[in-house]
Amino acid sequence: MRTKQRYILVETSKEVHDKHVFTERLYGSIIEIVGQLGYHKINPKVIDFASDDLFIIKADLSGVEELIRALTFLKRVDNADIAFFTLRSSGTLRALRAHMRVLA
Amino acid sequence: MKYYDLVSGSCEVSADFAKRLGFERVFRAGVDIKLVDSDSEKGTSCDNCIAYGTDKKRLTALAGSGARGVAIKDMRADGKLLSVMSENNCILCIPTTVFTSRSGIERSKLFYRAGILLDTARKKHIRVSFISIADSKLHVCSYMQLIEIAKLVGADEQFARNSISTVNGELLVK
Repeated sequence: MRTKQRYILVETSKEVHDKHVFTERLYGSIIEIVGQLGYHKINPKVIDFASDDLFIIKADLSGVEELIRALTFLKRVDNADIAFFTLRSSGTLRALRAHMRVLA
Repeated sequence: MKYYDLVSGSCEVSADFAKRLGFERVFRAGVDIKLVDSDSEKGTSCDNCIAYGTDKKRLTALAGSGARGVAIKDMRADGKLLSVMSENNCILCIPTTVFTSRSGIERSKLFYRAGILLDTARKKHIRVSFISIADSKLHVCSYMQLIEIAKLVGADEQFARNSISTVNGELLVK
């Protein structure tokens, strides 16, 4: 059965240049906060970067609250201070991309 | 629903950024509303201000002298303070920066104490507000994040939304 997904638009407090490395480190930091079982429930995946400080992350519907909490408490990635602001969440990627284009 | 937040005077949040975070307006302590640090500032007069600190005796005195809200830094519930707040229709402010600026067991203990504080305040019919009082951009939260922190403390979705919109509006908007 297909799992329902939720998409969240996230802004970072500073610009990210190496997006691939940042994404891998972000997953590692989320595991540190929610643990391996929590990570499995969230099943996060960075979908798209609109700019250096704006991206969309996908999560399973049952783990979306956990992901927002994890991003709230996540203040360091790759030994650098960073804050994540969850701006909007949506059930469809199209609605979020439209909002992202306005912001980017 | 219109959401409001309060940040420290040293933290500047532009109107545009506040809108992106989902807030109608983000107020600044010391600029838009007086924030009295009860641990360092002397005096017990605090008309229409928000008292912030750990010293329960001074917080009780400030709550009795017209403070609009009281934020307890260490999240320890004090029966006398909460009774005075209830009598004076004073709002209990839960500063989320104490959670975001700590980690590990220290944060877990704060969540536990905040849960007890929230329960006691609700039993005494004290209105509860969730504000960030962030001193840097690192600890600023969006409205969604404030709601999630409120839910972690023990509030339900409706109570959390009401705290950040209606109660924060009463606390911050004159």
